[in-house]
Amino acid sequence: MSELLQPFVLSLELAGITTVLLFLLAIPLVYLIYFAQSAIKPLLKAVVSMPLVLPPTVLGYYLLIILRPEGWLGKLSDQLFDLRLVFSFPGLVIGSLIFSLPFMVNPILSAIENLPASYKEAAYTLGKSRWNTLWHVFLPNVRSSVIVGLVMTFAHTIGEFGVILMIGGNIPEETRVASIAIYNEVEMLNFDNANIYATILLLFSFVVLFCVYFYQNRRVEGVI
Amino acid sequence: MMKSKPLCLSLLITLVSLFTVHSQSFAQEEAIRLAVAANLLSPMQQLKEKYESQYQNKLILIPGSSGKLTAQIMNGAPYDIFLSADMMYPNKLLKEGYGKGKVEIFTKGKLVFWSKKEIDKPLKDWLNQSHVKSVAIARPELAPYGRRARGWLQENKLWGKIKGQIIYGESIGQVNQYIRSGAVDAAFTAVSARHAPELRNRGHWMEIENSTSATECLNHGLLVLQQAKASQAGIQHFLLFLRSEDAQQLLQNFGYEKVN
Repeated sequence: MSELLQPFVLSLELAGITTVLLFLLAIPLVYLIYFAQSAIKPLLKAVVSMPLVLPPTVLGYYLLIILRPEGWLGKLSDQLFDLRLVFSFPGLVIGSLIFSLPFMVNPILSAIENLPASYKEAAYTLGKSRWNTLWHVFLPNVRSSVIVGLVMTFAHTIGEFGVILMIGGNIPEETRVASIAIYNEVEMLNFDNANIYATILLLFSFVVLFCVYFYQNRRVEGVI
Repeated sequence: MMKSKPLCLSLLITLVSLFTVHSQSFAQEEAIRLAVAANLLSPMQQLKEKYESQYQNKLILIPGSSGKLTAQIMNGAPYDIFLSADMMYPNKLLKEGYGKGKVEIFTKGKLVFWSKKEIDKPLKDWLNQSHVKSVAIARPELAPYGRRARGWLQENKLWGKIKGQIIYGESIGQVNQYIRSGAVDAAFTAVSARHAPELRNRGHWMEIENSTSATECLNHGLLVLQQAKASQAGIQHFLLFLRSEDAQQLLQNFGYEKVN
């Protein structure tokens, strides 16, 4: 039983770590994009949103080139920390950070952009810096979008497949996450196990989305 | 004002605890990682159960087509031993400095043909009349069994005729999955599929006679990898087990031939 559940533990670990790291990474990114000059804003937004439209295999390919032992990042990590980045859990974390980036940044950014300009003006009038304004005025006012970003990032990372297949392979307890485990069980003709995994992931996806929409619904009614 | 403080704090605690959990899972008894050609997966799973019930060490099986596993090994995948479906891939790895010692032939396989319908005449003629809409083979450029299937078809002047009906599986594992789900009418696969409990009683099976040059070289090679992390003693212990009468008998139960 524990061996059956191991891929889920790994998926939850990966999603948890990715979500936390992405939150810490997303705040400075939101700052950068929001306060950027309008000329380069579209460029920054396009770069951040790339993983939404890029085939995961493209992302996987570039990551493989960078992370393999001959690649610049792989070489660096090998020399500095004696750490392999391909076919290892840390490599999956790097991949997931890029893969789920728009799911964290976009909800927060669009919510802040939709705040009334008076918030910003009031904060500036009271002598707040940009960073302070973001941290003390904007973020508390878009808390629901932050939570949606966290939940969607988590859920999206659970559903990752193509990137992991290319840079992680299929190593039990290291890179065999739930989505890969289904693929593996089907290939091994264990349709019963594949069915268990698929059902759990199906329910998980539905519950997460239902909660997100339910929460957003309630918010809209409560805001006036 | 700063209501996001508790959020940040709880996120950090989550992060630290998750990393701790993950690093703890590394501390285990010795595990040997075997990169296994997909056709060998069924017998290897039984071998794994046998081995683990007798000894302390753990075996971790990573399945895939021989070509894909070779590419992974060249990209630094942390495997200890490579069990290939041919001799070409392990020899290539050895030549390029990814292996230790030499390539050992540890068993010999067979190519088999599967069909939903009964095969009532020699396969060559049967395929020539082509009542099949789809024939699955593993990708020839990655999977040795796919290469052999293509070789057999070319040799019998059938390749041009049924090329349009061919469905390519990523590996023998995927071809077997097509058979299992009934997605194709016919398939070329490995002999182990014929003996797998999930497939044994489906459709009709036929062994491809080993006389043709395409199917002559069905030797499966084993290579201990340069980047092996498992101890030398652990690896040698497993190799002894693999050569043992017990293990060889198990492979023969799946239709493989012993190599002297």
